[in-house]
Amino acid sequence: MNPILLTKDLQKNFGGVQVARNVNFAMRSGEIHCLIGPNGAGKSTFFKLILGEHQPSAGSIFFSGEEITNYPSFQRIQKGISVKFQVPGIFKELTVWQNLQIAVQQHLEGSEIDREIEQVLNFIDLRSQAYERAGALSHGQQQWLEIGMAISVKPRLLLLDEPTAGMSPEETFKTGEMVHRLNQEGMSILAVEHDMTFVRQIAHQVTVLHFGEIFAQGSIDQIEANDAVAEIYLGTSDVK
Amino acid sequence: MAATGRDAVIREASRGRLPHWLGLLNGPQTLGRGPGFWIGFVLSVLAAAAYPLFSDGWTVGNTAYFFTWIFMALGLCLIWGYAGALSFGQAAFFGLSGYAYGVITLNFGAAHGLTLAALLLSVGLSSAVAALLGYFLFYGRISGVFLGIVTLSVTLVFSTFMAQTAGPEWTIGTARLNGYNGMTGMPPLTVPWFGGDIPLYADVPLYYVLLVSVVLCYLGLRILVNSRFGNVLVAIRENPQRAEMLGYDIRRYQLIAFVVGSSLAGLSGVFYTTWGQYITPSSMGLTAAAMPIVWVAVGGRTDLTATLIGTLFVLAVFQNLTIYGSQYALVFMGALLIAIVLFLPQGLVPGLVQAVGRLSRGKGRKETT
Repeated sequence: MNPILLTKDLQKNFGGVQVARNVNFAMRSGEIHCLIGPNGAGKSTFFKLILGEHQPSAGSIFFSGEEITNYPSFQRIQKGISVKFQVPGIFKELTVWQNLQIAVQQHLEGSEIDREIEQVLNFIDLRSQAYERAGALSHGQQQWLEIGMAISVKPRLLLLDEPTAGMSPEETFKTGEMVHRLNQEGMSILAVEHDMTFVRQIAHQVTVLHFGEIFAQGSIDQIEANDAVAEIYLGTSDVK
Repeated sequence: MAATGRDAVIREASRGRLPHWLGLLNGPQTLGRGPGFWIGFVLSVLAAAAYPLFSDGWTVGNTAYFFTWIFMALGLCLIWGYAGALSFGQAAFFGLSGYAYGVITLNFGAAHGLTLAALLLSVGLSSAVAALLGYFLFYGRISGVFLGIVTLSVTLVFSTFMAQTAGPEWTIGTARLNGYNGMTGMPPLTVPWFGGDIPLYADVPLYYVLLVSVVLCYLGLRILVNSRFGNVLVAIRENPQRAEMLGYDIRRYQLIAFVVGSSLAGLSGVFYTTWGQYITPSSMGLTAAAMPIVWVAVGGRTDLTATLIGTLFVLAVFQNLTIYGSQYALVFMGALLIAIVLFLPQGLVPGLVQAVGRLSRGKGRKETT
């Protein structure tokens, strides 16, 4: 099966600091893939490279077989990538409905917009908050609203940057259920996550990044059984 | 502008009854969505239409003078209030179109509807320059305070350049630019008619042309900001990164808003020039560049109605202060801007609307207890 996302020798330097080193990453279509690693491993930089917020110093990025390395961010989204940021990136002064409307109107028109918003509201369980100001929602609800906005553009690949940050265990579990349902509908999902319980709940494949390089890859069981991974997380090894 | 559950009711009510584009007159991006608002709007327009019947020519002409500025204010409301890009360039486009109208009409005269063609060409010139400047600004990713600095610089460069054109060598065809003294003697807008051309001097006829133009411009902008385009502008204002990550080319949207808003400043410039039959570099100076910011901020920059009401209010107060308080007028304007920014950052009109809403809710609660 062709990878939905592929990076070849991806590099990013900030001055003399190399934050992504020859990253050769492949993700299959229909997969839930989690990206883990200690702080400063380069996970967020990797996301920003995929989204076009950073331009790579070298290497290339392919989405569904098409090279997107030089595409601006909005074109990558139009191609079928979407993102939920770590800090909720919502329009706080607008209502929940308006937030979703701005996302949905990207690909629908007329009465179809309202129907789609209703469906998304049901999916993220915010129907009763539809006309509340988005900034007045709880942190967890804001995270769900952003997931709703991200999926409203009908992506084939959804990037989730720490989707459960600041959530209670119940909210985290509910978010995991949402991710599973999206995946069952055919969406590929790449998530950066620190919460290993959540990773265990959702991941088909896990990639460990360390010092900007791919350190290990495999199923969650393989990763958890890998002593070197445990050591870099615990900081007892100088593995490089 | 935050919407309430009422939006759903209004959306349902207007669906199916009105053509889609007309339904956009009501929407979450504009204050005033109920029947009460529209009854008030129609009564206000009727009162404005009847006003010349009960007033003298000078006062009507003076009110027409106020109307000439409205387009510039509404344009800034679109660029700054809706798209979130603070521009000090409105005065530059005002002056550019004003001078262009002067140059065209002084060279070619006013016969056969040529002043109307001059109006279109002059506004078109502002649109073209705004498109060029805006392209470099927005596609160069200049934003925030730097956008304000660049647009202010453009305005001041243009003003300074025009101020040094006093010499006889500064002519375009037969039109002398005339430096600080300004360009004078251009004809008023002239409507070709069967019995002979009708010149619209700063009196009742021009008043009606301006009134109709203001109403059409206001309604047209309401439709624009409540459309898909307006939703995206508001999204860019609230969170440009998220707007881009929903697949919108935010620079293109900002550029279009900038061109439309700047063209409206150009329209103000043409109307002002036809009203007084003169234009000077001071209409592009530092004070002139700052005044639209004061009007829009005081009224309420995130809403067209608030901007419209606020601009008329501030213009009237400013003119009276200029007449009766001379040099204190500008000091008062500065103090008003500071007070609004500190105590009513959303502007006077939205602040009053919210206060009335709070009072009526409080009263309602008291009556139910």
